[in-house]
Formats: sequence, structure tokens, C-alpha cells
Amino acid sequence: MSATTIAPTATGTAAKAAGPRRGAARRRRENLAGYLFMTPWLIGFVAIIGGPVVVSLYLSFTDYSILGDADWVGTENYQKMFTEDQRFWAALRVTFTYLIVSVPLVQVFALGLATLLVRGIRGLTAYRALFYVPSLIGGSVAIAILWRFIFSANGLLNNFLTAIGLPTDYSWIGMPETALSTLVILNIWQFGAAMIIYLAGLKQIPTELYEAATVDGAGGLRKFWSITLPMLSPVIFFNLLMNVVAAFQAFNTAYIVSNGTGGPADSTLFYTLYLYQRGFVDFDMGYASALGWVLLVICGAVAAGLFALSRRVVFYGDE
Amino acid sequence: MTNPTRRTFGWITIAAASALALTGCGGGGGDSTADGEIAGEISYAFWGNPARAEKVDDVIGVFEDANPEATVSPEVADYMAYIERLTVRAAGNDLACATGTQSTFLAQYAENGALRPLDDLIESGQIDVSDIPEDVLAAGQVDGKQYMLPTGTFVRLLAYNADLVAETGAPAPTDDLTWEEYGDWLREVQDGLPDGVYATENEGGLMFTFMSWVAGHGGTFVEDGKLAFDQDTLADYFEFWLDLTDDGAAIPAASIPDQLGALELTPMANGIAASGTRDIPHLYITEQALAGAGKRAAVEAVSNPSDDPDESANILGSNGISIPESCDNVATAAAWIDFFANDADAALAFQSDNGILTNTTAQDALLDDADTPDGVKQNVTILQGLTESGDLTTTAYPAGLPTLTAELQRLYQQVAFGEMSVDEAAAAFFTAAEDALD
Repeated sequence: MSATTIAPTATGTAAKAAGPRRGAARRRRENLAGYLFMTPWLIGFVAIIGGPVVVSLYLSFTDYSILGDADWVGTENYQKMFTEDQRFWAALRVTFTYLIVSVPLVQVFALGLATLLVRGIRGLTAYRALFYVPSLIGGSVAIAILWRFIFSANGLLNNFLTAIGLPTDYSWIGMPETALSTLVILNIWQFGAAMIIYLAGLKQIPTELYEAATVDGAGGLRKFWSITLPMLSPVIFFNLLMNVVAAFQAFNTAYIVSNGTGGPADSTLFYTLYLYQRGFVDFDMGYASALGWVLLVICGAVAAGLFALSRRVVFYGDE
Repeated sequence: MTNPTRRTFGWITIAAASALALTGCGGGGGDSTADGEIAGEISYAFWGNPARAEKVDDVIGVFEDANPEATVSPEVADYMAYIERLTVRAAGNDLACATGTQSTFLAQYAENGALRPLDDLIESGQIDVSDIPEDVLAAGQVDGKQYMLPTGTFVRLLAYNADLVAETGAPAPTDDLTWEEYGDWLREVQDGLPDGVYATENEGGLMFTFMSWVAGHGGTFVEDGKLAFDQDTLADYFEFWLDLTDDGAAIPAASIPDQLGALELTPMANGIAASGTRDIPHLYITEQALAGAGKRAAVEAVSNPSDDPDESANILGSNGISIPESCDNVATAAAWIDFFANDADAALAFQSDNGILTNTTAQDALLDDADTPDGVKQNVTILQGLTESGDLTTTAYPAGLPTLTAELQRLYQQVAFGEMSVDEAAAAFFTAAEDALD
């Protein structure tokens, strides 16, 4: 009795024990397969992104000159940056000015136009494509050169002003007071990508909300303020975050328009352009690495601030 | 046991393959000494446009016909991209066996050990320099060693729109102007020019013009790794250009960006400025640009001003070819350099496309050839005239010159826009130089 009792139990125990083992083995095989599939990405990440990022942190504490040895200098690069380097502060000032002015304006233009286009006008697809094109070509060399043609002393803008009776030979791109503004305009002109995202977001807002508001006698402005903006706030937050990060990374247009100088008189010296100059003109890669890490910290802090703010002002439908 | 072993072997294989892929190791078998045969493949990296690339292809064809065991792979990029790539490749010990270099940045690579001296190759006769003038060769030397064989020289001269100047009633400039006389001449020209046209481009931030200023005042730019002129020299230079700008004889500071771009878009090439400094090969291009803008005119050139009649302020620089320390086929690289610099057929194929050909015999071959474009013949003739009259000077191009060049431009703009005093800017330049020349 006991034997017959024990035998099935023993068999059952063995089966139970074998089951988890087989399951664990299967999971290991699956995991291994997963890791193998990940391997190309992992190698790429370590070799192209992760590795250089870690190395750049080390280099930021050295005097590495790209062609010479990297000697440890401790925090000297960071001390010099914060206490002696006037161009570092100039670059920060230019970058933050550019960010604070251009990012909100891009949102206003993009959202405004998306609001118009969402009304189902004829030829919507064509308009959408038309407004999106600058986003594709806006950061290109050709457009940056075109910008010089438009805003130089003998450029198209001054020709237009002369034609309407306001003759001027003011070089919008050559004067420190206005050079950055031309780059802000160039950035605003590339509002198409944000507009497409806003357009998609606007189409997700339930029409019943507007219908109910209409019944209650709400006007267009009230509906925009009380329905559109809250319902669209996650999309606005997304666009804002992406544009802020892009503004910190802005490089191409300033590089081309100023011939890589950040001029006139450092008025278009974006942070990344200064970093480039220190690394690839001065060969001061240790200092450039330190600049890169400070930018990362600033960018991270601003992003964290935006996320913190989003808890208060961004409305998610499930809340 | 079988599975772990197989797995381990698999991982080792993957790791080894990855390491090989990442490090770019792929065997070698070349000869890093100078004694090897002229055989095998080398790369020749240079900057330029597609038209220049085609000419290099033609030279390579002639070279490979003469050296059937050797092949040359060209690698071309436009100037800015080339400079960036050069830096990265030097850091990775991966420079092309024949690397295009220039006086202005040669020292940066030579002093850091990225390039090998060519002196042993010259002594052995593998690279013949007998037809290249000494002062031209000096443009490829760093600390007395030949790190670059100059293949195309450039000399910046004072260019002027001869027709425009004649219309003003002012005399043409001469080769013996002092800087003060040059300033007076510019003001005289300005008096006869219409509104919106200026006597000169604004060169207060241009390093080559400043180097001419230093040489023309009997000074030396750099000596023993330090600036060899005083702050007053720089301050006076800034003042000279600020005064011209205030007098309306130089284009306004706000238009300086226009003269930093493509040559065809510069004020002089568009008839907005009557004069400006130009490399010799750029004289003809400027003339063609003026014609293209509907303002056809002759562009002439005279020597840079100098306060000492015995001191030339025409500073010679050069483009050329170097061999990196990492090259594993030195003999073939040397043969390629020798061929490129000295062979008459190579000269005819390349048409002196990047600076004026340095080999005097090859220069004559270019002049005698009916197919040589007029502009090229004009360039060669001007250089030969300067060489014969001894109206050239050489200067040391220090490592850190690119930094100083950018800094001079930036500081002049700060001064021109009233954001810094002249003395502050001069002092800031010297502070920057301490780091850059360290």
C-alpha cells in the first residue's frame, strides 16, 4: 500500500522536478536566442555609443589633444570652463537665447497651422506635404547658404525692403544684434515636423467634447483653451521636449551661416559649435569632452525640469 | 561538457571577429622602411572638387603606366571635411600613405609624430628636389626637417580691379608701397568710387594679411614656439583697418562674412570692393567671377606693402604631400610623391590645380604646352617673376596656427563691433597664443 502510494508520488515528484528544469532550460535557450539577436545592436551600442561616452568622461579629466597622449589633469578643464572661459558663457547665453525664443515660437506656428489644417480643407495632403518640406531640408547646407543670400547686405530681404520704399543696406546676418534672429527664423521655418504631430494629436480629440461645449454656448477661444489645449497637452509636452533637445544640439545652420566661426563677434556661437571649435580646430579634445559632459548635464536637468512640470500641466486622459 | 565548450568556442569566435572588425586589422605585409620595391597599393588622400579628382586620376594613370606593379587609390573630400577626417584618421593611426598636407597645419601633425621626415628619402634620391627652389622647400619643413614635399605653392598678393581703379583716376598701386602709402592709396581710390563700392575688402581679421603686416614691419611671426612680435604690432594692425573702415574705404564690418565664403561670392569678385589680397591662383578666378557677374575687368596684383624695401612681405606657403609614420609602403609612397612633384607628364595632367607647381622644369613644360589654360600660365609666370626678383619670404607656420587664425578673426570682429577695445583684443590674442603654441 505504502509502496503503491509512494511510487506514484515519487514519479509525480520527479515529473514535477523535471518540469521546472525543462522550463528553465527552455527559458535559457530563449534568453540565449534573445541575446544573440541583440548582439549586433549590443556591439554597436558599446562600440559606437556607450564606449565613447565612457571614454569621453575620462578624457574630460585629461589634456588629450587627439594627436598626443592623454595626461590626467583632474578637474582643471571644468574649473577653467566655469572660472576663466568667457566664450563658454557666451556660448551658453547664445544657446539659451536661441532655445527660449525659437522653441515656443515653433510650437505656436506649428499648433496654429495644425489647428487650421485639421478642419478638413480641400487639398489638405498637399498643404501638409508643403509645410513639412522645410523640416526635411531646413538643416541642409543649401538652405543655410540661401539664408545668407536672403539676409546679407545685398540680399533678397533688403531688395524687397528697397522695393517697398524702405531702402537699407543693413546686413541682418553680419550684425551681432540680428545674426541670431536669422537663425531663429530658420528654425521656426522648420515647424513642419511638429505640425504633423500636432495634426495627429488634434484628430484624436473626441468631437463630442466640442459638440457638448457648443451646446453649452462656448466660443472658439473657450473651446481651444478648455478642450484643445488640455487634451493636446501630452503632445505639446512631447514636441516641446524634442525641440528643446534639438535646440541644445543645433549646429549645422550656425556652422554654415557663420563659416564655422560663430560670428559675427560670437553672436551665433552655439554651444555645440564652440565644442566643435575646441575639439577640431584647437585639438583640445579633453576640454571639448568636458564641454560635452556639461552640455549633457544641462540638457538632462532641463529635461528633468520639464518632466517635473509636466506632472502639473500635462493632462492624460486616464487621470 | 560538450555544450559549454562549443558555446565558449562560439563566443571566442564572435569576440575575435568583432575585435578584428572594430580594430580594422586585416593583415599587412607592407614595408615601412624606405628600401622596399615600388609595388603594391597605397592610398593618396587629398582635398578638392570633382574636377581636381579627375586630374588626380589622370596623374595616377600615368604613374601606374610607369610603375606597373604599383597602384594608387585616391581618396578625396572637400577642404573642411578633409581637415576633419585628417584629424580623426591621425588619431586612429590610419593616415593614407600619401597624405595631402599644407604649410598652415603641417606642424600640428609633424610635431605630434604622425608624419615621418622625408629627409632620408631625399638623400637617397627617391624623392628628387633638385628642381624645387630652397625657399619653396622650406614651406614643407618643421624644425629643420622636411615633413612635406611642396607640390603647389601659394603666395598672397595685393590684388586690385585694374579697370575700377583706373575709373577713379587714382594711379595703379606699385610693388614698393609702405603700409602708410597703401592706406593713402586706398583713401584716394575711395574718393573716386560710387556709393556702395569700397576701395578694399576688410582684412583686419585675416591671418595672412596680418603675417604680411608683421613681415612688412621687419618682424617675425613666431620664434622658438612663441609670438615674436609685440602687442603694439597687433594693436596697430587693428587700428589700421578700423581707420580705413571709419573712413569708408574698407567694407563695413557687417559685410565681413561675405568675404569669408566662396571666392566667387567675395566683395571683390562681385565688384563691391576694388582690391583685396588673393593667392596667385585666385587672381584669374576673381577675374572670371567678375565677368560672370557682368562686371568684366582685369585683375592685377602687386607685392604686399612693406615698410622696409629690403624685406618682402609676400609670404610663401605650400600644399604638398607627406608620408605618415604608419605607412607600410614607404618606397611606393615616395615614388608617388616624386612623380607627382617632378614628372612633366604629371604636371601636364594636373594642370597646377592646387597651388602653383613647384618644380621649375615642370613649370616650363606647362608654359610651353599649348593646352595649358591661360590662367595657369599667368599664375606660373607671376610666381617665376617673384622668384627671380627675390620678392618672397618664408615664415614658420606653427602648430596652433589654425587656432590663432580663428582667434584673430574673432577678436577683430569684437573690436570692430565695439565689444572690446583694441588693447584688450591684442592682449587676448597673446593669451590665446600661449595656449595654442604651448
